[in-house]
Amino acid sequence: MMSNNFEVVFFITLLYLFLLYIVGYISEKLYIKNSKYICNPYVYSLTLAVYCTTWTYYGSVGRAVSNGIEFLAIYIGPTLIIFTWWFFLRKLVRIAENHSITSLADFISFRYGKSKRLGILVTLLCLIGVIPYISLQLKAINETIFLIAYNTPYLGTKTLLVKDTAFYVSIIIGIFGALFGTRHFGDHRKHPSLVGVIAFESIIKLIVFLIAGIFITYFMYDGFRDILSQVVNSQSPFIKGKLDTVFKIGGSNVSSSEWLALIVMSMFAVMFLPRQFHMAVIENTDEKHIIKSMYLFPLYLFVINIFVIPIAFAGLIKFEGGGNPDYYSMGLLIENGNYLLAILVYLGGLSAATGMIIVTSVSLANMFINNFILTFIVRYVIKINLGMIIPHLKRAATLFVVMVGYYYFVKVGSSFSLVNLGLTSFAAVSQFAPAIIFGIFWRDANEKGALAGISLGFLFWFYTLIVPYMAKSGVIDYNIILNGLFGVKILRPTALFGLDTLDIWSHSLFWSLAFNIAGIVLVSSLSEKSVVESETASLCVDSFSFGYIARKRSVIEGLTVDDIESILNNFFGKKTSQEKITAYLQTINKNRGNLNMTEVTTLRDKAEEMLSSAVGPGAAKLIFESYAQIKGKGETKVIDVFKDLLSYGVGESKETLVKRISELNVILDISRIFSSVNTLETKLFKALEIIKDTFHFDLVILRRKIGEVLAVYSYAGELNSSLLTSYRLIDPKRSYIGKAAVQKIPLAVNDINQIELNEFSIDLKKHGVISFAHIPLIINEEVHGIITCYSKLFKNLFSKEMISLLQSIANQMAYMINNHYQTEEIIKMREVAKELEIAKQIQKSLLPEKYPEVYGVQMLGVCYPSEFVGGDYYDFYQIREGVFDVVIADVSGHNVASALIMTELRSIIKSIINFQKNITPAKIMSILNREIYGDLTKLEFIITMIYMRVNINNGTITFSNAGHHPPIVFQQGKEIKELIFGDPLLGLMEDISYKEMTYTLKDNDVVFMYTDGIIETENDKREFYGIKRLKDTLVNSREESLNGLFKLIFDDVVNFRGSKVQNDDITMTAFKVKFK
Amino acid sequence: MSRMVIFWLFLFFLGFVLINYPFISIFDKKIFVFGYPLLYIYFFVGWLVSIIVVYIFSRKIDDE
Repeated sequence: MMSNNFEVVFFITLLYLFLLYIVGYISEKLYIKNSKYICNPYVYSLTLAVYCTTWTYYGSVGRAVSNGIEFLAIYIGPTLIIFTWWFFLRKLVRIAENHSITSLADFISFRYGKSKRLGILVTLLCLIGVIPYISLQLKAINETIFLIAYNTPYLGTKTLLVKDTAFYVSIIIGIFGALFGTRHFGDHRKHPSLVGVIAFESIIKLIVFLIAGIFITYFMYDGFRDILSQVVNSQSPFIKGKLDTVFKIGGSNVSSSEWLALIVMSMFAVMFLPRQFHMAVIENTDEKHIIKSMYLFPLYLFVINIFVIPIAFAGLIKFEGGGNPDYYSMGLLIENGNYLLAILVYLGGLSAATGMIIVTSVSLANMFINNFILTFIVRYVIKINLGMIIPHLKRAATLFVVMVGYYYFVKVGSSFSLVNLGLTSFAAVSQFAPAIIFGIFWRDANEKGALAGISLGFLFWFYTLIVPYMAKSGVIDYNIILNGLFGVKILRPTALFGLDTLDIWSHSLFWSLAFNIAGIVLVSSLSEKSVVESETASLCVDSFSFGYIARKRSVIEGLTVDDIESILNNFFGKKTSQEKITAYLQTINKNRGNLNMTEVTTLRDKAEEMLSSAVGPGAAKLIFESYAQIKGKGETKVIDVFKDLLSYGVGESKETLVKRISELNVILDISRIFSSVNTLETKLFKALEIIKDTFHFDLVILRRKIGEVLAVYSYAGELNSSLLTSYRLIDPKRSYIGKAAVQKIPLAVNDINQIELNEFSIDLKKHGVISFAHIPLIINEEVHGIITCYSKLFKNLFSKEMISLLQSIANQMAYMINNHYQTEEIIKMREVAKELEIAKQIQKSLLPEKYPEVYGVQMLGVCYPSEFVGGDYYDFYQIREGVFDVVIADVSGHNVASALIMTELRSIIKSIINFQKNITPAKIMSILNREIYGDLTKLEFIITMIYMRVNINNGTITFSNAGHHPPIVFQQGKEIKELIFGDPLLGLMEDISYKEMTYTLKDNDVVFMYTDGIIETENDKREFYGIKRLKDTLVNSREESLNGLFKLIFDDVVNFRGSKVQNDDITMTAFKVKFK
Repeated sequence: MSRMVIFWLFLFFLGFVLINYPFISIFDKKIFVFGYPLLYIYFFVGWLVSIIVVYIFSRKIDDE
């Protein structure tokens, strides 16, 4: 009988696992057919239910029997944290998606500067904290196999280990995990088959649990109330004694602090357990799925818990606490003779267990290989081309993790009580919460802080939870609990520092989190973070802000396309890597022989990104670094204007940021001058001129170091003859300039009356100079010259910030002067100017990607940018059914600042119409003017703009015009008119109340708006294109599509222009209405 | 912080208060309502209400 039954159960188990394989296979097929089958909010919510393991499936009933409603805490916690998901989980998803993060360890390591140490630490702690949880699942499978096989309602007093069965089951599940978890399909981070399997298992465990619950409650008993009244009226002394416990939390041995601890731990667990993080963050395919999951997932938890109490009470009545209460659902069915239903319950439990084991082992294996193994073997991987074996390594690791779980179960499971291991895992992953939460909301949290916090948290976790366990099970001396470590009473692990009023869970959580948080906050506040860290910190904290913060680039000098290809070959094989490289070469229209450094670096970034999706960002970075090291290629950081932008931007208000950017424009302008074809003298003169004008100096002099003297080389401003002819000896004792040159530091005098005068400063004072600063030009640690700025107007001009800005300008100039002397370096200089293209990218990113969908309306906008950054902007916004807005604007100036102003403009408009849908165009314009006036005057910018609302329902347009060219309304081949109406430009006066005009459209009307780039185009004969020519072109066009129309105009403008270059953006928007 | 975020945070803290001591001691009594223990009714009904609240407000996000 017994052996027969074992075979039956084993066969059923195999059958079920085979079914899973089929589901996985089908999921992948479905995904290929249409990804929506797998990537949708319903499947996403179901996969989150991997939270419900056998601990839920069986353990809830067990806990309900002993402690009543206390089991609910670990489901209510997740329901609560869900209120934060839209800004919390979504932020995690956004960051993970942007930076190809593959696991929790990756995430933490990435946030703290791609820290290797943190990656290793988090991986190890996950393994220690979570593997016992796998054992818990194997234990449940093992015990339920025993129940089914022996056909007995409950386990005897001694748990029998069915070792062989558990061993085979573990191996099979491990192989399954290995197959699903590393089956790469396109994107290495997403596993459609895994997602399909987990969603399927979630359905199975829910349905089976409901069937069992309904059967027990309504068929074996007469509903929940019947069960309740039987419990209440029971004469059994055992049940009588339990009444208080099960009906009241306060009546059980659950304290209020324990209740709180359970809720807090489960809130963290539902997000940071490796399996939860994997399903919720890594496998998420669309942030929007979070919205529906916010109520679907708690609904799942709610439904699966409905019958826990009835089953628990039914079991209580039947068995009076005998056997293991965890398995009362199965026991009741077996006792009642419903053997088939019992087998069904077994399958539900199997699905709960396998789901957990598969996802956990896959995600742990990922961490283990990416953050642990790769760190140590990366050099070998590169040297002997081991890249291709990484997927196999991961498969092996998945199986390995499950087998470690099995080993733990066999070795320790019999001596340890496994019941609370789930909660121990919860407490363990709670230690990651501070590093993650501070990490994404607090910029100054740094690597050292995170290391300190996590280490301390785990130390206390171990000492207050694991040590008592070990003592109780006899692994270590029990004396430690009674008398503390080394007999020091205050170090008792369950009453640490004399805190003896708490239960073990809240006690442990309290101390571990307290030290964890104190560690991260204090150490972060007291230590500095590296440059890389501030970048990744900013990328995480500001992940929702617009993306003008470009990453600083590190350039591996001498890196070639072949190098990149060989790295990719190593990991992805020849075919894939060649495809990738060819695709890139095609987008930039070059062949691999003539790439410049910027292009090679871009390719390298792309390759690193691709590697990231396979091995995580930390390991990807490591691979490139090690490669460079092995090949003896040095890594240097290039001067990158946008890097400065980033480090200035960190922690500063928007206002200072705008100011910084306008200052940084100086650097950009200077780069531009240096990349032009001119003599060095002209370039220097122009550069000094810019510095003088921007900062309102009276005089800027560049002195060159020749031998031991400094001689005037170039200057901007008025220079009297004595300054011009005088040489300065480099003598720190005799002059400030000498001091600056010798000490290689900038030196400022903020008030000439406050200093000890020397022969030079007397001369300066005579000429009315009030303050001045010497900024050394340093190339390769050698002073090559000094830039001196003089002011006759302002005292205290040279603040710390000002000096550091002048310093960075000087550095930039030094770099460029140096380059000038090395002709082959000229190419590099041009690359600096290329940074302007980044600004261009900002502008491009602001233009709309899709248009409102309005029936009967064709709409389109285009912007043909000029050589550098333009200041044109247009957008379309859907307001409601049949109503949409069109904006066109032209910001004066063509640089990063104008691009930034556009960004600001756009965000203000968006926020206005988001909150007040019915606001009129005139109102919007007035608010906009008021909001943006300050920044515009500061930067001496103006904006012309039209804001137009189109209402198709009544066929009208209403618009407000701030000094922009009037909109043109026309019908092809018929009539054309300009809607002349307008108010002053934005940024002229702070308080203007803009007016608006309404116009009724006819069928087939086209409304056309444009920027001055079109009509102010000049030809060789110095004639303008003009409005008349534009109108003629418009009305005479036969083009049906707006696209064709725009092209026609643009071609006409280009023809007209002849050999002249386009020096302004050309932007057009139009829409055409058809009422029938 | 947007108004939406503040609002969700408020709901979060409200929920936190409602499911913890001392507040739940109001319901943590051996009283039966319609034959069901008061505490069970409190948690299960409260839970369902919270799901409905999330449902309603998550649609607001959808609109945005």
